[in-house]
Amino acid sequence: MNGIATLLAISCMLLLGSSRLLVSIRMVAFQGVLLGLLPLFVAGSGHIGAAALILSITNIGLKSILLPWLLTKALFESGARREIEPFIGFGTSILSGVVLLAVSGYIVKRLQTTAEISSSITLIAGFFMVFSGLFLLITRRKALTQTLGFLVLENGVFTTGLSLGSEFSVYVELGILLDVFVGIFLMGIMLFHIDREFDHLDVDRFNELSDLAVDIASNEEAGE
Amino acid sequence: MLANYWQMPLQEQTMQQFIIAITLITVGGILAFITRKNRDVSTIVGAGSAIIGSLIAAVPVARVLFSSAELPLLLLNLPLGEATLKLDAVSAFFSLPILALFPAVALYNAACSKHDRHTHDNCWLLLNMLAAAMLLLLASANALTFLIAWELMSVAAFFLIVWRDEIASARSAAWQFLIASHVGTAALMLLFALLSVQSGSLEFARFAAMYMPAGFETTAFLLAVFGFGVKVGLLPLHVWLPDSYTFADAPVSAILSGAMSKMGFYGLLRVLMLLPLPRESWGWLLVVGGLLTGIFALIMALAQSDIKKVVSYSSMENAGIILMAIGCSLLAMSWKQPEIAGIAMAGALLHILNHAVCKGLLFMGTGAIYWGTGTRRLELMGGLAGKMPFTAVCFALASVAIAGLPPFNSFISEFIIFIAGLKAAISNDPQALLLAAAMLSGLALIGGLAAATFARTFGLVFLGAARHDKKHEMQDISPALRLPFIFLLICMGALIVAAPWLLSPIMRVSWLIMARQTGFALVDLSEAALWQPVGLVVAFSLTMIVLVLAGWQLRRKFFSAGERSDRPTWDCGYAAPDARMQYTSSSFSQTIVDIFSPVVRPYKHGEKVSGLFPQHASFRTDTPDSLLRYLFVPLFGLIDRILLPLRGLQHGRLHLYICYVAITLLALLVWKVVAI
Repeated sequence: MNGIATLLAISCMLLLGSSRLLVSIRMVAFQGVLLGLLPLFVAGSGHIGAAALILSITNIGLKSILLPWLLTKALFESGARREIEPFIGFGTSILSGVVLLAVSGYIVKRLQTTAEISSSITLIAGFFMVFSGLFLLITRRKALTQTLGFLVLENGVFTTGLSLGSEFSVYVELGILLDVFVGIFLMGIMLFHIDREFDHLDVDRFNELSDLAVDIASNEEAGE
Repeated sequence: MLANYWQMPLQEQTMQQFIIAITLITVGGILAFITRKNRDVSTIVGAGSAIIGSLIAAVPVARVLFSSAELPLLLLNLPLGEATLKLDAVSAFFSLPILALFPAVALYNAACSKHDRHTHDNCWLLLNMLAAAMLLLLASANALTFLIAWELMSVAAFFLIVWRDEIASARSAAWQFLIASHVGTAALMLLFALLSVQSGSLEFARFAAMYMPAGFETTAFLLAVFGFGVKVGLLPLHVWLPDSYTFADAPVSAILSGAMSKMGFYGLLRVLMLLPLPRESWGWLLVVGGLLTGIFALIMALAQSDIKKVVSYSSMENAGIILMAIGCSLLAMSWKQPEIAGIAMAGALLHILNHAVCKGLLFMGTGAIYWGTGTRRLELMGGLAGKMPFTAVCFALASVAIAGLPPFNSFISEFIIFIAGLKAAISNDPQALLLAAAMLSGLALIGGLAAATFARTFGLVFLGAARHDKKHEMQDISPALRLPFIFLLICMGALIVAAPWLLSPIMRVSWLIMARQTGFALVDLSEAALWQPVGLVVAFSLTMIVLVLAGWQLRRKFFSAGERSDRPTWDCGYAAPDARMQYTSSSFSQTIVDIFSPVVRPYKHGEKVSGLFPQHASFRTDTPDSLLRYLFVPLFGLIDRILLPLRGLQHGRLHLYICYVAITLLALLVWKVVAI
């Protein structure tokens, strides 16, 4: 179990450092497989319940097959291959990842929970995934990478939930999965349409359509 | 609730009836909205529910006011606890303006929607919501329900004002209204929060019973004056009022000015009922504020060239008179002079009623004028009396009445306020003499200015020669549209004839307002002192009306149409008289406006005429509200400039928004973890 958590953290680091979108998608798919294995280990080596099995299968099916397929399709249709000029460079991103890992370790060490922590390393990995998901959302330009960041964020929530006690409810997790599936699905469709309308997937240029951008610009002109 | 309605005791039945009326009005509005595709059905449902609801509500109101029935409390189960509904004499009195104006406005709207297929597109939902919210406001004896009803009322009013949202100035007027009313509501929320923290409850009954530390009651009073002053149009807080009433539709402005602004007075009096014995300073504040409001409003009214703005400013003037009378009553309460306090309060209450009816008539009259001429600009009107005789008569009667001139109802109430001033004048207290001097001179000045304002308005609109080109197509309003006018004229007549009989219930209401704080007994208020003068005034008014009618009939009889002929004005003096030779809206009031020009500060556009044979010249004045121009626009501009750097946070970049969220969450998490 600790091994899986370590792998998850390492895959996050790779995501932070990779500039190729296809590699990033594959990395998220790999995370999905790892996440699918995780409930089986949490449930205990002796008996694997039906609930854990269902969770595992849906997880792998959704996060490592369906969603990556969808995103790959969107990727090929949009023609973008690489993440160019992120707001924070890849080297700095990896360094920030290390800092975030340290912060999550510190938080977990000081955290007092009512629930029983089954594995503190898994919990650290969970927190780290949440943070790096947010980091990806903030610093990357392409809408596709942002979708990946959202997915990583959700993976982190899933991992954190699993590591915080054995009485996790399958239904809650399945509900979240459904939520994520719908979200990513919509994002995939939207990416396609955005690409057609804007000829690019750069998030920082999406506000061309907003009133506010024009408003501020005209105010500045008036001020001068 | 309805199943065992008939088995209830009469008192409870009556209270339920009031709630049923509110429900009926609301449901009617919603049904009218649902059936809006079919205009006739929607009109019938909306107007029908409005009229029937008002009739149903009139029964409990009349029972409380005239047979002094004590209605029981009604407990309302809300998610946050229980709230009390109660209809006492004060609430019943203040529902009279609503119950008079709402059916009239509904009739007007229904009649209009027949002619005018496009403009009156379905405002029943909002109109009924406004009326229902006001009735609920009057019935609520709990701070929470009071505030909810107050907000509902303001929001409905906002949407009614912004109804013509294709006009940019209507939008800006509505925004002004919304901002002003929310600033006011913020003060009220603070007020009720203070009161409920102090008393540990949200019920009004508990507020009244609690102990108040020193200084607390003055804070509460000032908050109430600010919060409710916005609604009534107290001097610096009135800036939303003229524009909002101007750009709303005529029936909407009638109900806003006639009924909604009265809710401000209701709230003020209700809070005064909860506070301990008023301080002298409170009374002076209201007297001075009311005087300044009245005078300022009329000076501004004289300088306006938009007919609805004139009428709107006159609403503010009447609010000033009422505030002054309430202030006088507060002063008399603090001096332990029950007689003056009672008379002044009764005058204020009666004036509220009179103003509601007259202002409803005037605003509907401006609607009829707009309907006939298609404009609100006084410079483009003139000579309408011949073409729209019915409107002219209604407008003339309402103008004379609202200016407080003798044979009509507002004169009676202003006369009662005068009596209060005179009673103060004969006491030996120097402060009372000062009060009397301020009130009597102020009322006289306000009366004179009001007469000038309405002489100008009526003259420019109805008399003289027509200044516009559309001579042929104009006609008077249709018979169906006359119904609401006739209804309000009847109300006006009833207020004149029945004034002596109204005194006793009104005295009881004013006693109820001051009984708890002052400990006055009902007999101290000496309602009898008013009987004789009011009776005299009413007799005089009726005689005068009868004489005028008789004279008119005589004139018709002895000078038959064959012997007179209509000639242009100044026909004998000029070779080619022209409509442009008449007084214009600016020139008529120029002398008065010039006297007050430091306050009014009109913009003058145009060039000087020079030389012997000047070719052409134009002149135009334009008078936006000077307080808006010199106080609020700079103030809000300053606030805007101070807050401008913060706009940088609102840049529309998704990354940074997520970054804000992430940083906040991380900071909270780390802070919590470190704090352990």
